[in-house]
Amino acid sequence: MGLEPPVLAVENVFKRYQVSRGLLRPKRSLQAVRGVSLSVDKQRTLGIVGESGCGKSTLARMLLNLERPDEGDILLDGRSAGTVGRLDFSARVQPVFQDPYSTLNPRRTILETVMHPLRVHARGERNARETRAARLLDLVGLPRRAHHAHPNQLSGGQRQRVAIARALVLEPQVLICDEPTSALDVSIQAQILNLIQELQKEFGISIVFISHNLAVVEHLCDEVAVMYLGRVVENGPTADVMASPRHPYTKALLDSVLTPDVGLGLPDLQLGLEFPDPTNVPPGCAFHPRCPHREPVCSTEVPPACAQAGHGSECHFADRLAGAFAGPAAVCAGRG
Amino acid sequence: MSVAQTHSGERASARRLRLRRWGQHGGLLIGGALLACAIVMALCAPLLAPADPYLQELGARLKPPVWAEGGSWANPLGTDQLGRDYLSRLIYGSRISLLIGLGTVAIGGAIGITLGLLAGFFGGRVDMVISFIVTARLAMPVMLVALAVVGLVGSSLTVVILVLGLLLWDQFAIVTRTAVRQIRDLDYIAAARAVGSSTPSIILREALPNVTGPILVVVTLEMAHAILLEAALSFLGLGVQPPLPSWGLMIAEGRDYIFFTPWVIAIPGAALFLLVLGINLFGDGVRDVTAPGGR
Ligand SMILES: Nc1ncnc2c1ncn2[C@@H]1O[C@H](COP(=O)(O)OP(=O)(O)O)[C@@H](O)[C@H]1O
Ligand SMILES: [Mg+2]
Repeated sequence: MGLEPPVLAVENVFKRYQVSRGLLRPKRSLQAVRGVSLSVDKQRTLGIVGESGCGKSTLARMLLNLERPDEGDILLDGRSAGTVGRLDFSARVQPVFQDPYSTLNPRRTILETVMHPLRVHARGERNARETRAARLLDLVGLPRRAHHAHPNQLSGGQRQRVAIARALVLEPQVLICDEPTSALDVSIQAQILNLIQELQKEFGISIVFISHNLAVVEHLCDEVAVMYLGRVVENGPTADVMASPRHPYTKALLDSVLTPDVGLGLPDLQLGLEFPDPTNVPPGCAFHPRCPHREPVCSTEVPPACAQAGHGSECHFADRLAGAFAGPAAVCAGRG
Repeated sequence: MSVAQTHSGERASARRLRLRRWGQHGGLLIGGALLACAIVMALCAPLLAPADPYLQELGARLKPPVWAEGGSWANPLGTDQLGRDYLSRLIYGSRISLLIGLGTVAIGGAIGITLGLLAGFFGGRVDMVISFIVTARLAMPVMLVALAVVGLVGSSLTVVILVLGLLLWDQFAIVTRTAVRQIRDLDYIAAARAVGSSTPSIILREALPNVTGPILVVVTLEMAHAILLEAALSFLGLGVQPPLPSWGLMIAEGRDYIFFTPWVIAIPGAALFLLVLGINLFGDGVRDVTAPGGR
């Protein structure tokens, strides 16, 4: 471990939303993210997985400084995002969003779309911007004849390529990819994933890759964090987590990867019908209503964070789950 | 160089495609033609009008148009009760109608679109305040307020435009607000924010260009609305003042003669009808052509 701080980190961030349930009923607090700490190192890829609604996109918006956390902080190169100017921040962290059909302004041509960040940042003359944008579009593999097209003339995959070019044109340090391929055909998904990997090497960037597909994350990411109901329940080096999961939720996710319909995400985790509700987080371990291994303690006590060689998990019975995993006993904070 | 040529070629063919889509819409073409006629009439009035619209010739009062018995080519649409050439007055009158329509829409549009953008984009408290203002405005009957104000401050072309402009902005606000609410959470708005664009720039460069379709429809509706209101005000003697040749005023001035020389009312009435019809057809067509499916 070097002395260099991680390129981008979140420290114990919380985000709550007030949701109304009708005209006269009181608003309820929805806990989208509940105390998440994560970091990405230079030129590394961090994967974030979890079911739909577990707070991945909310975390992404906070990582992009689009939303301020209620508590906690976002650190860019060790500096609080609040002290980094908006332009400065945006030059270093850029998004690729999920929906190719709404990610591009319909009124701009493709070339204008990719030139726009340069204009906002007042980089170069018009001609230089155009040259640079065209070069980026070449790099992402968009044909030249599409440069003056509008987004509605492009396919979903092509639009995602444009979105990637737009994100890279400022030469950021970190790319936040929020399920960049889940809206695409399976055949196109692979192309876009390969493109992202190639460009990462070429530009030497860090990536936060959000997905609900563990197979994709395994292929792409150095580290992985598994989220459940707004919390990271397990994180560590991808190979480690995949080989010996230390949380029953991760294990269920891994099992589901083996089912035939991987492309559809997480259709059936065999975890019962108790659907997680962020407005009503269960006490104790938030996962306990669906957990096949639950014991009485799970519904009363919040599991402590245990870490073992950089592989952390929040489960009372992490060791038992790891099973054959031999090694020194886990160091668990505040375990009674 | 060859690359540059292909680029401009691409650009041109995209434009051709768009033009073809516009060219295939019947209502749009008819409306556009009627509107174009009115605009040409207004712009080229001195060239097109056969006579001075203010010149009275009391010896030749209420002459019939050329197709009626006793009509002559000297006054193709006849003359009015003061012996002024009716065709010339009709041509000059198009200036008044268009001026009223455009002036009202410019003022009302500026107010309504601004309010609608703010309410739709920010939502929350801003939206509540602006929605209240719109509701308050909707509670005022346009015609009565216009009559009262014009009655108080006196009537002139400028006053009519100002009063109508300050009244007819509600539809702009409502339509813009709804349209902006539909797009403000889309990813391209978030992408613009993530790139560091300022909020005003996001509102003007990301949101506004994507709500122009519905706004254009309101432009045409309110233009027609304003033209009819001006005609009504002028008919009641509280709009444009004589001897200006407003179509509404022409109808008012001719109303004593309706039984003997009905064309003095029929002609400006038809002109008004055709202009308003043209504007509405054009607006409908624009909505069809710019609808998301068609773009
Ligand atoms: N702006 C918002 N207002 C209210 N609730 C929200 C908002 N954004 C997200 N949520 C809620 O927060 C939870 C997490 O959402 P999200 O971060 O989009 O999850 P994911 O991306 O993992 O599917 C969901 O229950 C969602 O309904
Ligand atoms: Mg999401």
